[in-house]
Amino acid sequence: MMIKTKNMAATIIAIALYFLSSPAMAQVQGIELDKPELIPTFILSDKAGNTFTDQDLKDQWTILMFGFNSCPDVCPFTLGNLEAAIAETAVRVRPDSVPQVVYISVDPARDRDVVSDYAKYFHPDFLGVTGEQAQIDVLINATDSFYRFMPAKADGSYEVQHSAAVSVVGPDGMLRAKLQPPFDPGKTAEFLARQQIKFRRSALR
Amino acid sequence: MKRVIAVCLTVYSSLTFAADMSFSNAYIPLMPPASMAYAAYMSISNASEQPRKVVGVSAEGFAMADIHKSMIKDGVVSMELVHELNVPAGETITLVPGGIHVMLMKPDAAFMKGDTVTIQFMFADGEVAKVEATLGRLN
Ligand SMILES: [Cu+2]
Repeated sequence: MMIKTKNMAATIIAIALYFLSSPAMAQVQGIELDKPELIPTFILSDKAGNTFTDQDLKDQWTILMFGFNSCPDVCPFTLGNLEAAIAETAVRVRPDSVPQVVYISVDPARDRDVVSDYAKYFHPDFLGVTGEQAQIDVLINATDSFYRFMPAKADGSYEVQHSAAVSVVGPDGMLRAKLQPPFDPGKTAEFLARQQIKFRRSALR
Repeated sequence: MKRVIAVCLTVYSSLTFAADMSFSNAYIPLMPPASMAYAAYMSISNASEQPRKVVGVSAEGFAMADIHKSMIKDGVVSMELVHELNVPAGETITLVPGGIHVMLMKPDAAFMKGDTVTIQFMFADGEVAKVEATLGRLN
């Protein structure tokens, strides 16, 4: 009986070590920046006119995602996966360390009035914002992201190509990592938790 | 008279239900209110010994429908029109988020969980198949 328990403990430690040391996981799911980069000043806002600025990045973890509401396939899939990843993260980290997901529409012309409802549909705590093109571009450039409007079809509708990755910003307002799809909830949560441990360690130094 | 019969047969065959094609797990994720675009996913099986080609699609309650393929190239998400969707003989293809989907545009009305939408597939040989897709949560 005693031996069995010991073996069990050894197995748990082995699994923990595997997760902590697996470089493949980090490469597939997330890319950590060698040197964190400060997100410059920007101002966006939600439907009600509440602003979202660089100051709102302070003292909390933030996940920034770019998209557009008329995106029927990849954007809802990403938001759904992020919702699951955040739920998984909430199990592993302190409540005040659960990242704030911010959905940024790069298509303000069509989405200004519905961007917040869109994000909240996937999770009541998700923030949906947009703004002037120049302000969106500040965040696009700061996160090394991309978007492009495609030519309109006969009925006036158009597609917007955009980056698939999301950006992880630390409580110091610095871009620290990028996450790539498919945002597996368990792996994403694991990656975020490790980023937070690393951040706390570096802050203590 | 022979000609009349031939015409009749042609008309008849153009309305033939595509019996060798089967569709399963057809669903449409619910979208936020006021969404103008939805996507339908499913598995399409071809039990025949001939490859089959989907050349068109339409959906009840939507002004437009197309088959699209999403892809991520150099980290950028884009979507392109699929003009012909091949279903090889004896095989099943699966439409999943982030890949091939039936894009449904401009809905007539809002949807609720459990609602169904009839999607019609047109094949290259003129046959058609109707599929009921159910509205539900993504996850
Ligand atoms: Cu599409």
